[in-house]
Order: sequence, then structure tokens, then C-alpha cells
Amino acid sequence: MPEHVILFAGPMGAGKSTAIRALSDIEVISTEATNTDRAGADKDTTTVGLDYGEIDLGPDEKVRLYGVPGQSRFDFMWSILQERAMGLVVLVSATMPEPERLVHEHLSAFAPVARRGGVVIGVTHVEPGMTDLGDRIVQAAHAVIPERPTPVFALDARDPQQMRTLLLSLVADIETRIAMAVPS
Amino acid sequence: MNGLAPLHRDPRVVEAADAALAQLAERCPTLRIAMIATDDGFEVTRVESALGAPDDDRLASMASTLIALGDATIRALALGGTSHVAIAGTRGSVLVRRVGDHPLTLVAVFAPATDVDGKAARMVAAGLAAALAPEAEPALRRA
Repeated sequence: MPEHVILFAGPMGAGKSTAIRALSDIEVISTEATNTDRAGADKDTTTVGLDYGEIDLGPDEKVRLYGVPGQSRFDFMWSILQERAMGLVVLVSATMPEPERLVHEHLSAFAPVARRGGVVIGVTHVEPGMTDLGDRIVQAAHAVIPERPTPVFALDARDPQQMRTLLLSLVADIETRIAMAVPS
Repeated sequence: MNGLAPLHRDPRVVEAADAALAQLAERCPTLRIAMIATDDGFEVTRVESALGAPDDDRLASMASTLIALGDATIRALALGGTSHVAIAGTRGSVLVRRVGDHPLTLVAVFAPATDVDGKAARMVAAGLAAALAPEAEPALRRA
């Protein structure tokens, strides 16, 4: 990984801020604002700038974790934050209407990061009985990135162990792409 | 306020915000556009002057991001609470000012700002905060 910048994208309420808090070795820098439209999402606050956390890999090496706002009215931050990123985590909640459509939407918005680096999808709030959800999400990801498979995980964004497993998969995806790249 | 109506469509908030922006426009000759927006980036109302507003429809969300990034910096440095964020460009300036303890901001674009404009924005934001009594409306308090 030439630069260790990982983006967390996905709709509001998917668990991006929670995931970064679960992973970060430092106190997360957050830009939460009061959620004034509870019909849109029933939570007290929402990210309007970014979340920032770090994982220490050594004295001079860190993985920088950036969470982007979930709503498209903040898409100017999407453009800014994806410039340096080499990895993408798309999070979506299984309880949201049409999670596969949301995956398609957010993966499309950050497709340049997924193509030059790596991508994994995390699905939160998965319940027993959601039997075809995984297939729908895999198909949605394939529609955006047809040239390779995209790993999909069911997970709890609050659980550091599960989030680290997701991140290791992302790092493996990035390194595989680098290893398989045809020299120019 | 109807508990289901989002804050940016609350008639009482819109009416008070309209009155506040009218005052600001009257006091600030270099004002290009002023807006009251929610903390999470929804436009409540705006006023545009004859100088012409910038051609960008994301002013409310940009203001939301700016004040939140300011908050994060002020919090990290233990400097208290954020009252406003100001950015000066070579051809104009942007001011984002909190409206008391309400989840609202006043954002104004000047060409460029003068000392009078900054003072007027402070007074108008304070007047709007007083007009929207937080003790009567829980939804009008910042989370």
C-alpha cells in the first residue's frame, strides 16, 4: 500500500462512525451535527464533515481512517476525501430499504478508489432469515465493479475484532491487485 | 412545531429566519447571499442581493461542514465552543455563525466583508436565537 488511507462510505445510519471508533487507536475526530430531519433517519446526530481515526502500524507508519458523510448533499466532501484513498469500505445496514440499491449508489460514487485500490462491503444489522441479501449485494457490487469479485461481510460495526477482520480483507484485496498489476 | 416536520420546514423557524435575513440585507451593502441553514445542512431560507449569489446550490451543506470542522478543531484544542467560522478569499468572504444554542447557522457570502458586516451578522444571529425560544421547543436545541 503506497499510502494507507482507507475511506468508510455508505448511507447515513450504516455504522461508519461506529466502525471507525471500533478500529481507531486514537480518539476519533468527529464532525457530528444535530440531525434535524428524523423522518430521514432516526438518530440524534449525523456526520457532516468527516470522521478521522488512526491505526498505528509502527513508529512511522499509520493507517488513516476517514469516514465520509452519508448524504449526497455533502458530496463535495466525497470528492475531497477520495483523492488520497487506496481502500474503500462500503457499509450498509440490512434494515434499510433496498440495501443493494444503496450499495450500488455508494460504490458507484467511490468506484475510482475501488478500482485503483481495493474494496470490501460490510453489512450491519443482519438478522437470521435474510437469506438472499448476500446475493443481492454481491450482484449490486458486480454491476459496478464487474472486473473482479468484491468481498461482502456481515458484521457488527461495534466489534473491533470483526472490523479488523474486514480491514485485513481489504488490505489483502489491495495487495493482490498491486501484485497482479501488469507493469507499464 | 409539528414533531414530524423537519426543522427547515417549520413555519415558525422560516418566518423568524426570513425576518432576520431581511435585517442583515438592509445593514450589509456588500452582502451577496445570506442563508439560515440547519446544523446538518438543510436550507431554511435565503436572501440574495443585487450583487449576485455564487452559482452553487450546496451552500447549506458546506456551511454545515465548515462549522463542524471548526468545532472539531476548537474541541481538540480545548478552546470552548465555536461561535463562527470566517474564510477570506481574494474576491470575497464567507462567514458561518451559530444561532445561539439552536441547531441552526447563519451563513453569509460578502464581496468582501467589512467590519460592519461581521458585527451585523453577529447581532442578527443573536436576535434570531432570542426569537426562537429553546425552552419551549426541544427540537430547537442542539443535540
